[in-house]
Amino acid sequence: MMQIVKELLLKYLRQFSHSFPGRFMYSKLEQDRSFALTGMPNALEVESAGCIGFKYEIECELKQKYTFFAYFNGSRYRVMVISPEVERGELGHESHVLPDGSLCLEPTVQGCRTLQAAYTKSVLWANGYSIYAQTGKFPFSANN
Amino acid sequence: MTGQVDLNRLRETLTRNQSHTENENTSIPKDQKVYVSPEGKLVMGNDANSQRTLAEVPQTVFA
Repeated sequence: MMQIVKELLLKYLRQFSHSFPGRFMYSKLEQDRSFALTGMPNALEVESAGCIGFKYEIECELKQKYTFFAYFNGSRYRVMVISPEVERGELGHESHVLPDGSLCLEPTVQGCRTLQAAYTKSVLWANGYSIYAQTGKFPFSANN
Repeated sequence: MTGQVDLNRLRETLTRNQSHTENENTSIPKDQKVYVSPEGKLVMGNDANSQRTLAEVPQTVFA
């Protein structure tokens, strides 16, 4: 009986947390941990400067390896490039990397609503950046 | 394991699907969307195996 009540309460809290982002952070973190475990390559949970995020490595179609750190900054998910060293722009319009080393994932808010969105766009960015590094043109950009 | 993605076809697909909102674009058929595998590989919708767990790439553009 208690188990059923507990499951119902957890289900309610998960649904409720979508309506009030920023609250019930524990539930949000649990959801992120679940996605990191099943949807990301060997994601390692890391706590840095007071925030919890996930470090992961991917290899793009051009066989270049990238290491990222995705984290929730309180309102959006952002992704930092840990390696390799990449070109950073003042506005991020060319390489789509901001001066602080984070990816310019969205045109206006520079972050994604979900960890899944941040992860998938980082993979897309990595493929775009590898082409940019060879040609000087980022292929998946509205600026081209 | 997926085969190598045709990057030109990927660019065409993204350009065609591009949106300036984060809302899911339900008008795009699943086989015309772009996904990412848990291994960090891009997968085109028509190459996606329904038995695999794939994450959809938001159809927003880099700007």
